[in-house]
Amino acid sequence: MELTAQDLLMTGDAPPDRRKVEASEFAALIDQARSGNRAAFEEIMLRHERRVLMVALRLMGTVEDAQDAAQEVFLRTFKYLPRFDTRKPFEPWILRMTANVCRTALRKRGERRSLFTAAYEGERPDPSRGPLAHLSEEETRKQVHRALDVLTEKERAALVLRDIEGLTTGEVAQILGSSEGTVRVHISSARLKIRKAIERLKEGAR
Amino acid sequence: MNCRTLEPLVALYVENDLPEWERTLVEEHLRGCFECEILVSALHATQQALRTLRAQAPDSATLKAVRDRASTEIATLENSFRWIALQYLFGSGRRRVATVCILLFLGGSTALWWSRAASITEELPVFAASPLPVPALTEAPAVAQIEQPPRRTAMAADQTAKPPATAQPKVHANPDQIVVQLLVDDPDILIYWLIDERGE
Repeated sequence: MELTAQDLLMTGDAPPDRRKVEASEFAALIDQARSGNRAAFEEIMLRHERRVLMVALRLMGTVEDAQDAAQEVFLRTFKYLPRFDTRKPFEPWILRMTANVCRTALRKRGERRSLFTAAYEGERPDPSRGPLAHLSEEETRKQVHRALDVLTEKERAALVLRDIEGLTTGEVAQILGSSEGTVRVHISSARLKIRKAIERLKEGAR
Repeated sequence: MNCRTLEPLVALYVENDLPEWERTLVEEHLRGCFECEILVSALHATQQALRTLRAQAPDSATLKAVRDRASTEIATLENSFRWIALQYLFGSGRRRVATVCILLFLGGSTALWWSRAASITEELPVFAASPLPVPALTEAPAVAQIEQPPRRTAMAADQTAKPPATAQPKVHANPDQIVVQLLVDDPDILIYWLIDERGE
């Protein structure tokens, strides 16, 4: 499924006319940035920084690494913006770049494991708390973050984009450069692994 | 179909990621399998927990730090030669066309110049050394009184009495004949002639 320009801003709730206007505004913004307008590029950064940083954080594990990755993503965006085809959606393009930057950084580092655990080192789940349903939102987040550690690189990327960022399977496939079937396999296996990991964490907390 | 085989489909079922026929298959299985129903509930809880992460947002200071660092990097890049080259290679359509034209022109000119230089070298004739023996330069008292010959052509001996203004004759001695080489101002003209002892 080819996404149209209306998906540029991911404004799914906006009426179609409004989305078209926003899409054309955004295309104009890209043209301005291409012609060297730094303010236009800053505006593009502002619109996408949150998503880029959060995806990077979930893939990399620490805020420092996520910041480095996000910085690299925006630098690459600036470099390769002239090559971007404005008929295609922008967000999958920048998220694909984010996934690639994170993958390269993780391979360079070669020690992704335990980063999520390290982020919460020293903190132990509260044994007085019951199963996941009774945990506070913050504790749930911590447990899920720890559970992300058990996933492989591809499973984690697929799960983060599909279940945390809420993209469709087709969009995830487009971003990761895989087929929808492959993405479904990764998502399915990631969900089962996460469930088991969370159960183990719960048992350890009791 | 047993529960183990169906597990991966159940994991996709909870978020409606299955095509219609597979969804029907899972639903039919779930009607009679209590164990898989528990799995579905557990997966729903996990999905709910994952969704809580969606609401998580970075603080504005972190975002600003990223923006500032990226802006600094971009400013450095903009001043670099590599960036200018990239702009020309991947810039707008017109720029790209102009760059390609210039590169083609430069490449073509170089190739043409190179091929012509090579062909000129090949065409140059190879000259053999002159077969004329160059006699040793000696004093030539016999012809010392010879008047300078005319400048342009080898003329008769009697005509040599009218000397050109700048001609410098060199005289070579030989038992049988005397070679007279006349040097004139024009470097392209070199005149030799032979005379015997009698001056003929």
